[in-house]
Amino acid sequence: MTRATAIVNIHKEGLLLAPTLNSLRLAKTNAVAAGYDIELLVIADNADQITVNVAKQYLDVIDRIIPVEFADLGASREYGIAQAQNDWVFLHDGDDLFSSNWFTKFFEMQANGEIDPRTIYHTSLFARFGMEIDIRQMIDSWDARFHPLFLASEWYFSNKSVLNRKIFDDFPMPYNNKRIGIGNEDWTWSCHTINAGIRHSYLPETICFYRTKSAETSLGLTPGMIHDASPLFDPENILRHEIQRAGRPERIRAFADSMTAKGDPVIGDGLPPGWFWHEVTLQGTFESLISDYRAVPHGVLRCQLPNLHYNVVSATQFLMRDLDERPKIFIFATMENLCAADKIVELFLKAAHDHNNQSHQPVLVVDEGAHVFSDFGLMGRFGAKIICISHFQRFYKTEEYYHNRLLMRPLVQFKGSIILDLGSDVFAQLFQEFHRVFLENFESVTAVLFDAYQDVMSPALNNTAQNITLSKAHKGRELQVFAQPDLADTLQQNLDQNIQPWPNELTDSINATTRHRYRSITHADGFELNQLLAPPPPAPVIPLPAETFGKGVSFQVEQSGEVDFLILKHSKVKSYLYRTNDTWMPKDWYPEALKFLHNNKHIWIVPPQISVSKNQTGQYISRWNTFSAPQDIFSVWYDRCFTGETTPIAVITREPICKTPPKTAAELAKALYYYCVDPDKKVSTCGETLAIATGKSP
Amino acid sequence: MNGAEISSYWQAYLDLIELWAKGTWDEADLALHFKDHGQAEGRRITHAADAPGDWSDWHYFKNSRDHYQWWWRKGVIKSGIYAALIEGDSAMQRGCVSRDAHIQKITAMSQTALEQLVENSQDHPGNGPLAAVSSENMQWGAQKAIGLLPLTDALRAGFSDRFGYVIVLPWLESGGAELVGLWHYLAARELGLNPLIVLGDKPDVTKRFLAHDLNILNLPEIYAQATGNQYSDLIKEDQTRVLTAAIEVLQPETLHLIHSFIGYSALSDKPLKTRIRAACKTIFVSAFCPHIHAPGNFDGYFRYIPEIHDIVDKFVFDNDWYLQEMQAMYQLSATKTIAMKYPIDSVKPIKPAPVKRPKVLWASRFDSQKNPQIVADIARHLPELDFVMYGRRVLGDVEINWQAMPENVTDGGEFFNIDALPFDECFAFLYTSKFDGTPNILMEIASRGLPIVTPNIGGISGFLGHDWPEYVANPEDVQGYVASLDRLNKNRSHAKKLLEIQSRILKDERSFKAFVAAKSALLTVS
Repeated sequence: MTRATAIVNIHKEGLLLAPTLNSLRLAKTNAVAAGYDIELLVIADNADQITVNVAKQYLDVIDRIIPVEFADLGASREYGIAQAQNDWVFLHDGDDLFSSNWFTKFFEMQANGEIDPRTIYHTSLFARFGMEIDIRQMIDSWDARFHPLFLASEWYFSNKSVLNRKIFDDFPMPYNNKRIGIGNEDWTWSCHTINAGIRHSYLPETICFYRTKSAETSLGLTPGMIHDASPLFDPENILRHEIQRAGRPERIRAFADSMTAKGDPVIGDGLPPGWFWHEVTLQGTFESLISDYRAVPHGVLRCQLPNLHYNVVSATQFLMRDLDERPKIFIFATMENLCAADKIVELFLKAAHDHNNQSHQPVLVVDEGAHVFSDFGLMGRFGAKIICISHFQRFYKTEEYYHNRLLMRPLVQFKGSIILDLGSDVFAQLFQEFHRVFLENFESVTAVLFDAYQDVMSPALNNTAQNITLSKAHKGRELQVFAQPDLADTLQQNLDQNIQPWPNELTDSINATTRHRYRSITHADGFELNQLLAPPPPAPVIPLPAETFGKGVSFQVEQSGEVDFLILKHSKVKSYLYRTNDTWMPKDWYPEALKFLHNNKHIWIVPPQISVSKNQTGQYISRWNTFSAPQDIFSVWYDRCFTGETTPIAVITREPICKTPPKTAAELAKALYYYCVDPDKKVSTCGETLAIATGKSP
Repeated sequence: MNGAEISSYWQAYLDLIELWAKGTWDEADLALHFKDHGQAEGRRITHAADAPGDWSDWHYFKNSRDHYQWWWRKGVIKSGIYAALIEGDSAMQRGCVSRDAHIQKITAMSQTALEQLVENSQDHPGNGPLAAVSSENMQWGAQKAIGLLPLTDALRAGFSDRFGYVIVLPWLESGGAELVGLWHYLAARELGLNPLIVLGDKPDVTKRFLAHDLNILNLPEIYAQATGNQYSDLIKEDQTRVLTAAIEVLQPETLHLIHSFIGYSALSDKPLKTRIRAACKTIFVSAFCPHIHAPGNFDGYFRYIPEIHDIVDKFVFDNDWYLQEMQAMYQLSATKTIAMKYPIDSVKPIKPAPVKRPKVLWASRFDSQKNPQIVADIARHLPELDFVMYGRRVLGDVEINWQAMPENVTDGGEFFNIDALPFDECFAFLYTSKFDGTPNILMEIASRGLPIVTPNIGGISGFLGHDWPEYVANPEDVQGYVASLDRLNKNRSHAKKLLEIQSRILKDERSFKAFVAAKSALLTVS
């Protein structure tokens, strides 16, 4: 008799583990009643006490609870598989539920000789419940409609499956690494296995009820993660798969042909079958959220096939085509963001081509704007692969939700390469989502700025500054930045980041290709890329210039923290500054406000006229402050402290507003509110001053 | 002339730029040109220092598709400022961010304010509001207060007592949850805990509750008085903030949440739950049986249990059946759960009056859950009996066609008080609900002296016991209902015996005294 082991990986599911184990208990009871034998293992990876306590209530069905400390789902799954007493293993997470026939169906098919040890079996339906509610009908990887390159943009096969663990001998389970942004281990693993001809299929009439949660609590939805490189995406394998597909005897269905328009009907959609509703009733007793399928109006809920985007296949083939086996030098550029873009891009392509005796292949990823590129010409001159973003997007009709992920594929496939960004929009867009991947998986990531001075509307400068902010927040490997010497000094102070000046040779080359480009003789025709790739020298510690408050104003810091409290002295008169530490005020405001206070004896508090706060999604919101009834405004400031919106608070006062300086923004707003209970404590702005929240971006 | 001056001279004139770009002229030629011709022609030497602080070449050339832009785009000249200074104010306006009409329009900010935005952007490159403006218009918001400070002032003034037991209810209308809240309130008062009811969702209080002289913090009303705004106008998240602020002011020894949506929402919000936990020594939460909707999906406040259990000391259920359901569903530990038997208001059996035809009483909501339609089938099998049905539609999920009802069924209309029902005319009470917890109506009926016919669903056995003789097999068991009613009609001594059992249960298990003792024990343990 075939035996199997069911493995449940748990972490911090809390009470939500109970519905899962209730569900698996029923499936196991049914299998045992049918005469089959199944071992149930729980692998508790850094599990909290509540979760472990829940698991311990199921010792009637759990054979072993094994505590581990991998802090990695892939690793703890691998460990569980090694601990199993049987070769056939079912894999589960700690918050999903499974149809009551999940184990039995496998054993029955096994008994009928219908199970292949080189196939991975998933559930027939993948029904999402909770925050989102829908049903995905699993597609067989050997189905004529399925193309392996769909896996470039979408996750088709989860690890909730049953398989023979010998497959892991050939294809070990990848790990998930949040720090470096490489994860979605089941996605990567399905790429590896499908490339090797391992089939992913499903057990008929079985269901995985998959709990959908917020991104904050869902490992699968961790932002900025991407599936790893896989032989599936190697150019020679891409070609091999295409040839194999063409040679298959099954008739390719219409919408999966090599030439297809988007929006063709997806064959296979249908209403949920009776056995689905039967399981909704059963599993609904374990988890009431599952009963919510019944609330969906009749006809709306359908068993949908996953997206079958054939344009993704073509797009991936285009991205990977012509990439040779050498590591790459990816050059990102937006032509509109650069002056003399044509010459600068060629300058960098040449440097990349010549780097270490052509040890790398240049890849230009470019927002081409109004430029028309000769990819053949650039390939001929520099051996370069060219990806023109607008053309790519238009031609392959890539959709927004997977566009970035798709563009990352050649990069991930060639981890360890060199990245050069010329202040481009496309790099900023990718870096915003995948900065951990860039910073931790490549030989170097370097930004080169060509601006002459700090122009607040320069797109390249703004892109690079935003990338620097993300890089600093990552607190790992840093983005290297080069700028013109004058600008480098300014940016270094304003961004508190080591900005290196252009090497002299680069300066000469840039000048030759820009300012002197129309002269018959130029003296520099290129530069060595090594100058930009060497690790930056240790940055000298440059103390930030001490804050000043205007001419003739002395100050004494009484408290610094979430709320700064300073005594300011001007013309021997003391005033008091209360300011939250994430508030920016224009420099001129301080002396003006002090003067205003000095000249208007009936005024006790000078606040800003306009508050620009930042909400949780990073949006700025301006509000006009009217202080005819100051308590009303301070009350609003107080309330906003509890809404997740960062409100800038800064006031200069004639006297301390309370005995002990407030420690938090809420305390400060509250103190201002109560100070103004006295109607004589008049409040007035001086001029149209802005206070801006500098809270961190989400 | 120094180099910078020469540069600022030739970069202001297209013909000179071209000469320099091609290398035809060098700086010396250009200096000579100024001396020999330019000066005489009225050409000027501009000064970069005259450029305002918010000058932007990128902005200037975005709006000026001229020959200067061509040279700048080719990287030959570094800036357009020299040409703009020569061209005068109209050109300067196009390159100064703060003076640009389009930016003023999309930010709705004055030049003064925009100058500060630029200064901010210079201090924080790429990260200030100006960087965001390029992708979307700047948002202006209203100064909309929640009013937490005036509210807490009002609460401190009006509720300065130390409250030992604070019960959060949605409102005080006519539901079972409110009744449960009332019993906890009365027991806490009996135990000297100085209880307080906080209405967290709506201000409604019916006369029934006013009669009890309750200490009520009507949050919606006090909020409106303190702030001048309506509580119902707040979004849910702000209502939870208001409730949390109120709890922080009250600092209760024990907080007991009973069926308040705002209360559950506050307890399941991470920052708020931490604050509530810090404000209370003990937290109890009550949950009652789930509601099964007509399509078959079911929900209820029990769904919050996984999110809030970490800060709750005890989940208080109203019957053992439901407690066991929840324990099985979430593996709640026995120490964290309790089922309490709620008392009955008064036991006042009504003496039967002489009637022409024996009558059966049905009183509940005319909702799908209560299964009122089945009375028609039962009545058709018992033409010798009359059936009178009292109630009203609440959820509107079922329609009763009174025209199609048998002649022996009559619509008694709505009832708001148990004593408005004709107990003296009836010999039995028929309960047909499909699902329930521990229905209060059954205890009230028993207290007025009618024997009960019911399916054994939910927590009913927690009241009548497992061996009640007149349980029918299931809510749809028409024959079972018929047999029970027939038996009670024909065998009055059997009916009398049932009344004695009901009376004994009420006395032993449903007295206020017993409830106070159970509550005291609960508080001691917790």
